[in-house]
Amino acid sequence: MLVFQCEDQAESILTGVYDAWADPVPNREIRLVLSDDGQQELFCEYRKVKTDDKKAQKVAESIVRKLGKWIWSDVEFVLLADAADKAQAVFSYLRLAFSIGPEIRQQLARPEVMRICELVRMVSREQQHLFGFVRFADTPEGILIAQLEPRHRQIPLLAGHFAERLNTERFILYDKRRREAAVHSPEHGWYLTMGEADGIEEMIRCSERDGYAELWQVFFDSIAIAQRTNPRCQQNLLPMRFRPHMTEFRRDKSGIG
Amino acid sequence: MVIQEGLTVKEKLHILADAAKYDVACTSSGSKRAGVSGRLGSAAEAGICHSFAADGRCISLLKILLSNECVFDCKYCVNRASSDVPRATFTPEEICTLTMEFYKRNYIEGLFLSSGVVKSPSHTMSLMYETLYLLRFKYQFMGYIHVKGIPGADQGVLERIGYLADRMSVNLELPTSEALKRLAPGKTRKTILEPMRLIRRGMESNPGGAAPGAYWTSRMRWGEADPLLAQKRAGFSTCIPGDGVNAGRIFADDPGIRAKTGLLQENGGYHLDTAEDPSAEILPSGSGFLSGGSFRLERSWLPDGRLSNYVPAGQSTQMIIGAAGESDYQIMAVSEALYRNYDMKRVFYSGFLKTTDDSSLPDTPGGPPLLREHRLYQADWLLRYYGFQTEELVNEKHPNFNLLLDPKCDWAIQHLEQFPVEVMRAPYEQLLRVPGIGVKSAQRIVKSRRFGRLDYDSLKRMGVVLKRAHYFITCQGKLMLPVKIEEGYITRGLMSVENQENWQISHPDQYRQLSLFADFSVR
Ligand code: SF4
Repeated sequence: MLVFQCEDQAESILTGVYDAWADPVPNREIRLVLSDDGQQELFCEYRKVKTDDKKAQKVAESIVRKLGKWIWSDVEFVLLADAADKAQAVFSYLRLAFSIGPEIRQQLARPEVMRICELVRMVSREQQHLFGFVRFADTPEGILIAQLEPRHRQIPLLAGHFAERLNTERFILYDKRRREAAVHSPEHGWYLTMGEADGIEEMIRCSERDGYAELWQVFFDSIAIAQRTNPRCQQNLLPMRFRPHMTEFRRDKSGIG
Repeated sequence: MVIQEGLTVKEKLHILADAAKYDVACTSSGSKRAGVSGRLGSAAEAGICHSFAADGRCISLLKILLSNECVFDCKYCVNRASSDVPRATFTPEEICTLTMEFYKRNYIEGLFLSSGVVKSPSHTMSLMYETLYLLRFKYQFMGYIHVKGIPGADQGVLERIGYLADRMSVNLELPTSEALKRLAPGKTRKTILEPMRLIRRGMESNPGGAAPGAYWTSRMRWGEADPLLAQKRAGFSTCIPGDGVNAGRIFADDPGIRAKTGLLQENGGYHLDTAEDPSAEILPSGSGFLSGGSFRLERSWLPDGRLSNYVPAGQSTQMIIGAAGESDYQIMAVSEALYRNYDMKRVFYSGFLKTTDDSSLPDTPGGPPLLREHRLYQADWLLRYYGFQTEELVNEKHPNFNLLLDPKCDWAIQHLEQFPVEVMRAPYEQLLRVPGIGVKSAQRIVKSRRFGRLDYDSLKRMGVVLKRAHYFITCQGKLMLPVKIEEGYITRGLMSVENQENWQISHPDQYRQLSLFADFSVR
């Protein structure tokens, strides 16, 4: 068996898919893994994928062209998922998809399709949550800043939404775990950056003096009906893991933390 | 009345959010508006929940009253004129600033503005109009706005404000006109239904008319003609072919219900179910869409010369449950009539909680009737998405829901002759009637069974929850477990699933992490 080891990056996984298809040995069993999963098995040939944006681009284009934009969008979500098996999931799904065609999306009973659906659901559920749960705080320079620690890589999936509705504002969406940020200004639209943590963390400290945080907390407390207090329901709908960065749950300090 | 001078915005916000909290609706769905360069805001079709309050309810909009001063004296309301609570009033500018600043920080999807009756209904509505006007024109706000219609307000302002809002709602308050008279002396069935009808007319005047809501979409799927056609026919009593299960017929033909709901009685013109158009009497001819008025000013807040539609996200309403001794049958019959005749987007149910010390109202020492409220929402869902009709669920003989079982399970147990259904073959409509199978599950089953056989494992992996469904389905001819299709047996099985949930609904504040195990057992 031939095993391709990919980085946990969309381009790397798609390059892996490209290389796997280009394998000259007919009918050889092939798997794709993320290289940091550490497990090596006997009787397998391991090959490190060398990320090549052109190859990745080609795979993406042929997905869009032959399978349609919905399947591409599914694949895109899975590529951002936090799941150890995602490289193999994408690979085996695409192999099937290219032999069956776009109607693969309806064939929910197939295990390859089921797994993709599961992963898409996980990522898009978190995305939907974050459309609502992201909290910005204003800095003295008038830049809105939001900090989050999503389970899956969400910044690329959120930036467009906020750039549209907050197009009049300068804002930064910051994934603290991955040190990835989307930066937006009315003049230049948005772009992604990696690793500029220091300046951003300083801005977050400044944003803790945003006076509207307190008004929001007053509203949040006043709108609940005491005789209906229901922490179970609240927790099901607004899981604990989102709360550290939500203004209404940060009573020691204001802002987004 | 305690009117306080010189309150800060923070103090006002506390008073006026607190006073608004009994209004149930907070959804921001039904409007789709892309962002526009240079303006703040957009609207997402399905709405977005931004937070969940300590009572578990979604917070999507900045839900506040413009003022909690009120000249009316509705007995169930904390803000009634005779109530001794601190009063406050926002200025339109204050509301605009809060909305804009909250929106920028992604706290909210928009504004839900309601109000007590300051001076008069028309005066109040004009203050609300001013607020919306400023938001749309001065602040160029593109987010969602839900505005309350105040019963008794002048028709002109109701027509105008509908072009600035996404959704409007007028509260029905109580399901019978007798109770309304007794508990809300400032309001009548007429002053409530009149603006509802006006809103409906306004929506119909939009280019392309009003797209049908969930109720009519599923009625059409179940073989009824579309609403406009149906409404043009002679009353609703003839528009459903088949088994005579028909809310329209109940109203038209059944003197029992007619007397009880009171919906049909008041001043003759208010039949929810006649073909003759009572609006001719209600709405004097004048300006507006009713007489071809153009409202070009109000419609022009959209950029690029586009004109806004009237109440594009539709109207909703709410009823108080358990304040006046009404039955579930009465409530659901009224809801269905509202869905049929006004094409409401939603009817909300608000379990009565006594906040005043009025002796004519029941005490609520155990809190609001949460389980009953839950059953009404479940049944409401069955009407709007599952093709059920009121009479199938509650009727003259069984006027109230079984509190121990959800309405769909209860119905299925009464109709065991229709089960089990075969997953590989049953039509979509029949799958929807299986307890535990929801719209998504039914759609997934129908989609995927075309491509191959399904078994219980693949159902589970598709996300179909089997703890209730397995009593009612076969998969390739086989039951999942060796169960008996027998009423007592299945009832006991379903009860063991439901007990836990029912307990949780009526004891919301008692947190038991253990529920995890109960939720995943049975299978
Ligand atoms: S009109 Fe009635 S329900 Fe509305 S605020 Fe006044 S007293 Fe309350």
